[in-house]
Amino acid sequence: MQKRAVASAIAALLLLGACAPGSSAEDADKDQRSPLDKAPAQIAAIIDPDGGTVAPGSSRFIPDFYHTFLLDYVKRTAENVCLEREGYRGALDQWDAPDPLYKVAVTQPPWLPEQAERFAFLPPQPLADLLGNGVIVQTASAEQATSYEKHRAERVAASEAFAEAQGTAEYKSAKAACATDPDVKRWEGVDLSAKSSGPWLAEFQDDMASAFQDPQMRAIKNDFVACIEGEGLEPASPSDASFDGLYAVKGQSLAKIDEQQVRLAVVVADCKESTEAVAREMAIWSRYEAATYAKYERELTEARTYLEGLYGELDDYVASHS
Amino acid sequence: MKKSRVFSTITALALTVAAGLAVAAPASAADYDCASGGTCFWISTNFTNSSVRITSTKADLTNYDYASGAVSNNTSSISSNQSDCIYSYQYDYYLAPWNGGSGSYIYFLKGQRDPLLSNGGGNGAYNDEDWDNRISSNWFKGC
Repeated sequence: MQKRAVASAIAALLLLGACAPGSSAEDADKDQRSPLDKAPAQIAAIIDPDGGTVAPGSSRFIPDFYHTFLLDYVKRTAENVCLEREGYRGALDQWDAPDPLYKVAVTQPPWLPEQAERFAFLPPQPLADLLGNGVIVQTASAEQATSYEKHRAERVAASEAFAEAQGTAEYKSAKAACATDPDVKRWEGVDLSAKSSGPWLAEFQDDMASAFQDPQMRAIKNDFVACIEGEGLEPASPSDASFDGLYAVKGQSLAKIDEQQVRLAVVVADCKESTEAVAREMAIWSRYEAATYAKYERELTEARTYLEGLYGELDDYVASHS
Repeated sequence: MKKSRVFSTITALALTVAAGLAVAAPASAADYDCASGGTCFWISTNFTNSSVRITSTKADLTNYDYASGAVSNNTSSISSNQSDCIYSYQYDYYLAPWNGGSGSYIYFLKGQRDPLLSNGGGNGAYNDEDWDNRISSNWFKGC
């Protein structure tokens, strides 16, 4: 919890610094404030130790995976409800609702020690996804592994049954009738990304590249490396490092979650905490992104408003149909 | 999907008919066929030349070799046919960030495909960008 306290405190300081009352001279000329100071709630990095998320501020303007999944789930549900109402009784393309773990976004995992203990160097996600991608999860119980195999077999069988059912006259007839169903039409017409695409996406990518080249990042890396070396680990060579190379350690792997990987990951998470690396890093990253935000403030505000509206509608739909 | 350049079966058939070509016979004979349970990556457009089929994680696609080279940054068309996972995500970084965060990506649902990644590909906020020879990693979600 110490980490949480530190992260929260630094995040709060970032915001407080931006919101603190200024001198009369500052008040007289507010345009002197940095782009980050002008809109911290809109573009500062998301650092939420309670929810487990750490992500750049630009992620607010792009559909998150949880709601991407939720929209597709709602589209499927609306159609299935209609098909059954039209009298169709064959196999359906039925999905489970998205796992709440998908709400957790972690840039450069692991972040929190508890995430490191559960997922090692992989980002938080359901066990089925880990196994479905071939990750060797030695920390999973035999029961969990068996349950996954059963779930997978059911999925494959259901997929095959639905593929076959799509060729039946009964399905085709009901499907045609549902094309005009208001609920089906309403959700089929929704594109979560409709307002997210634009030149800012490439510029946010450039911001990320620039942030990781910032001289202050080198200081963070030096502190982090000193910490892991104190714990007996070595930094990864550049060719083995992740996309930024900041926190990569020798021996880390995306292919397995076992005792050794968990041990390495916990050291990484602890060192991030003791050096305050994540808060420092995200503050630098936010500074670069803030300039892009200021440039496209109107479009990005529109994108955020659009997404929040749809997220709310999706959550409401699911609540009313569960 | 407004920006989607994903070719559904219906769209593909419609285009084939519109072009005055004979409708391909069984779906199993189509060029874009990808055996159930995986996502297929082709080195050339229109699902031609060498391909690989991925069924489990290979964050670094260079582990999969086309007959004439590595997959990473060398893919021009995709067909997604995974049966146990709903989504197949492709990223332009070796170590992909997931569930948000940073990095660009596109994704395909089962049954979706794209014959020409250079004019955009798949779904998602980045799908109208040039994705030819850009994909570096793949991850399944919703398994």
